[in-house]
Amino acid sequence: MNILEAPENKEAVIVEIKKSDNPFLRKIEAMGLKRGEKIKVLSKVGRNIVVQVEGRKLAIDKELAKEIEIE
Amino acid sequence: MKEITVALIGNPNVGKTTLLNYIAGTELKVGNWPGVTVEKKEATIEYKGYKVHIVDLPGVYTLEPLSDAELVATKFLEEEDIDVILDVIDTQNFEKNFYLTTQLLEFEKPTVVVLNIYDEAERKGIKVDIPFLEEILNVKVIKAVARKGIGLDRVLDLIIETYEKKITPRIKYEQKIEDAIKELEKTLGTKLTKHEAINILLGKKKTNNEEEVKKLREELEKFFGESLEEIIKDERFGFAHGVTKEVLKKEKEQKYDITEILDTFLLHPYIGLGLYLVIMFLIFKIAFDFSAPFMDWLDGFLTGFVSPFIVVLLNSVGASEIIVNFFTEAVIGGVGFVVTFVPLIATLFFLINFLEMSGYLPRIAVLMDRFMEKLGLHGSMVIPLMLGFGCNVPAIMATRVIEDRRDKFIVTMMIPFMTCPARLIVFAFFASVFFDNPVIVIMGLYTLGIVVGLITAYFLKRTTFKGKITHFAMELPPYRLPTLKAILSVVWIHTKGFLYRAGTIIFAISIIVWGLLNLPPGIKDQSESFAAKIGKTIVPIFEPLGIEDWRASASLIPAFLAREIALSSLGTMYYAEMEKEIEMEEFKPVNELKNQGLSLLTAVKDAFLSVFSFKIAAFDVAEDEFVTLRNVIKQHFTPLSALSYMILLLIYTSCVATVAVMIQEIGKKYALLFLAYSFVAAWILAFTVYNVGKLFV
Repeated sequence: MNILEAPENKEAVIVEIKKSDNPFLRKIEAMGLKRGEKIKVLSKVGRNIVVQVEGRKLAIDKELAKEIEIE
Repeated sequence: MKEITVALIGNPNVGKTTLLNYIAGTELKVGNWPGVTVEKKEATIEYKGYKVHIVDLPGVYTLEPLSDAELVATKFLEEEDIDVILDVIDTQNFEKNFYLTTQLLEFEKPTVVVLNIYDEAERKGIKVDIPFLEEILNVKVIKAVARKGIGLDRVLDLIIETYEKKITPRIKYEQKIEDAIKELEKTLGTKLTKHEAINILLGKKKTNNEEEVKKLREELEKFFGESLEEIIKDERFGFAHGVTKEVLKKEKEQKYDITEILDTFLLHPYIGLGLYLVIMFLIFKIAFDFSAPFMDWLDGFLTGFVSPFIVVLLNSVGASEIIVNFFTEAVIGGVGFVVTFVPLIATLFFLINFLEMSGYLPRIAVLMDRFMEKLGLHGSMVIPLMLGFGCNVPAIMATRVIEDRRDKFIVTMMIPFMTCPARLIVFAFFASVFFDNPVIVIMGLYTLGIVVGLITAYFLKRTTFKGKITHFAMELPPYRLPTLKAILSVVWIHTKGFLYRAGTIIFAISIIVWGLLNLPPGIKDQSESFAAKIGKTIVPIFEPLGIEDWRASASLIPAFLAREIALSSLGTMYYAEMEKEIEMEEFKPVNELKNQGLSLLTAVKDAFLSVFSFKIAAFDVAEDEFVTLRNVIKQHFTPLSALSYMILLLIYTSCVATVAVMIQEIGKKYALLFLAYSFVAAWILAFTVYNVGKLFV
């Protein structure tokens, strides 16, 4: 499943980032959302979702979130 | 003296700027990177026989060219002759920050790593083995708390030490990659830094032996079973992870977190929105109310002390009347008038920087994104647009927080339509003279401005910037309480910039405007001046809008300085002789100076008191002033032509400071094009409102 489908406040691990040639997804990887990382979806605001990665918070839009596969 | 060039770099929100502020103090200079509207801060400090030139690169997560910020940083690192790299890391997020550090180490330049925000990391149970980190990387490392100035004293020492001893970092990737790099060096017959070698292998940098490069690349891709881009990325992440594992210990996770508690409310889809509106209201209320007494005082000081003082001084040396008038009207009246806005601009900047440094601004972007997105715009555009209601000038400067160049451009084109207090002063006057319900008229004008801004953005998106989607990806940093010193230093830099403009471009235009009103020489009153001639000539342009009096159209010329001048120049033109009657003879400099000092004290008291009252004092403007002007104006305008005049002033960007800052941010060509566009739009709107209105009246 992708991040968008993940239940809120439950830990999950990123298994794959699709379309990694998309510059925005590459930026997100550098920001910390990358393979093997433990994440938690905190909330959804409008077209964005707020994700926690190791104590940091990132807001990304749902289009990007769809490309991040988790388990 | 030998110069050491230092590249200061790190992720966004790691305290880079705070660190530079602390080290550089007043040496700090702010400008733009050539060709892009990314802010460039730099400073040269003389230290131990060296000139240490520190250049603050934009905050980035990676050196891959994703936007202007990364492009600027990478270009600088690759092309400039850098002696030392100063890398700032947020210790709390060591591993994430280290991805960028890894890419920096590839340059194999003397490197100093600052482990910033060390206190908060320690509180979270994080410990870094600094000697071991220095040993495995061969770099210099210091822990610091830039916000409090802790640990920063040694930064310059370490920069000089790494430079003198040529301490260059060690970084090792998978053996296969290392072998390929050696092979590459052999083929090209030259020593390469890891950064250069990787760029060549990735095909970003061309060589004279592309065949061999291609062979090496294919070998690697075959061995790892992925594209080389993926291999390199994995290696970098792997290296960052490996180093982190070696040197970082995490003892306990702290549960209590102020950021979590605040975000429960501030980032809530509904409560957060309400709180945002309250915060914005408070920002404007405090900015206006706190600065109003100071602005009044400055105004009084200029007209009540400086101006008469100059008159006395000039009269004593026998200067002619025209010279006296030049100083009092063009210099004090023009430049001085603009300078009275310094308290407002400084206060607004103070509050906005407080919000920025506290970490709140990205939350606004997230909250507002859902509304902006419906209009095809980006959440982060809200911040500068909101600032536009305070003053268009700092608002346009604030567009620098927007990453995407297209969005930056669009938002700069929207800001001038946001009604600033200067326009409010004119609106308050006309609306209260001609309409029974001035508040509705004023609100209507505010709304009209916003609508025109949105239409402009829509138009730009449909034409020039067609078909591009902008994604949203933003870090929400933890909340921090910024220090007064850090905020004040940023406020000072921007205020200085504003004063510089006042002394140059605004000064030049005041002279021209004054000249138009007072020339040709020997005229009795302004009805014979060039301004009057121009006013009469341009009447046909404004006649269809119901503005038939030459004085009204001529008032738009000086209003180009700042909109509220429209009022004062209407006043001077309708009552040219009235001004001359003001008695100046009893001016006693010492007494007056004492009075000015006393009224400054009252201003300070009023400033602090008014912040705590409930109503916005700034909205009471223009009630008692200009009483006589009211009666005269009533004879020359109808409610409809007054409305038309207000619309003209609202939409047309008649503010030299705004145009100047637009030129600086988006270039002369687009700034002037925009000026023309805003005039045409203003004319069409005023024409429509006036003529449709006539059908009903």
